[in-house]
Amino acid sequence: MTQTLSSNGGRLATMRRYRRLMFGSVVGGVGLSLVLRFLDYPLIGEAVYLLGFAAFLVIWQGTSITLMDERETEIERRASTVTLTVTAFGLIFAASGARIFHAVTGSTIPAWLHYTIYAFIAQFVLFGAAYAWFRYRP
Amino acid sequence: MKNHVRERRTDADLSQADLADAVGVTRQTINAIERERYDPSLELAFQLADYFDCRIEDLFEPDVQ
Repeated sequence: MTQTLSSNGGRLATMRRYRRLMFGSVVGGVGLSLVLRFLDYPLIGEAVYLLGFAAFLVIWQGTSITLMDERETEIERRASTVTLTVTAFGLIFAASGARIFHAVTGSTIPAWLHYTIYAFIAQFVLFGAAYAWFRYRP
Repeated sequence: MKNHVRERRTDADLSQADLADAVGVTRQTINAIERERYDPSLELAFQLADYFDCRIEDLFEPDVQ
């Protein structure tokens, strides 16, 4: 039996440590920012909030350590696909509903709903751009 | 995909965590493989076969359609 316990066990421990750091920086940043906002330091609170996410980004992109094992990556992929599919159908029916509402009543839907629909459209435009990038890049 | 990972692991008197550490995945991934809830990548399948010093076909049986 091939013994690879020490090298892969160490890699797994490092992965867990980096993930704790990543998510800890976000949770810590958000928590501390809420406290600072409560104490009437909104700008410092925002800076701490952004620093927390910046730390997440630095660790996520800056390390050569694989942060998720293959099953976790697959779960994330499937959850993203389901989310995108549900969102797509939501957008299709919301946009149609808005047009039907206008056609039947002569009124327009509330502005917040209007902008929400456009935000979802922008999300799918981004998806299309990302898809095209991965599909056609050299 | 059917597999014999659990049998090989228990024959070797290993816990799921031990095997997971050995091949560099989480215990949950080994659990999911043994329960046939997740098919490993080719790379992981080869790592498991290499760990148990057997052929990949001895560990995994593709579903016959």
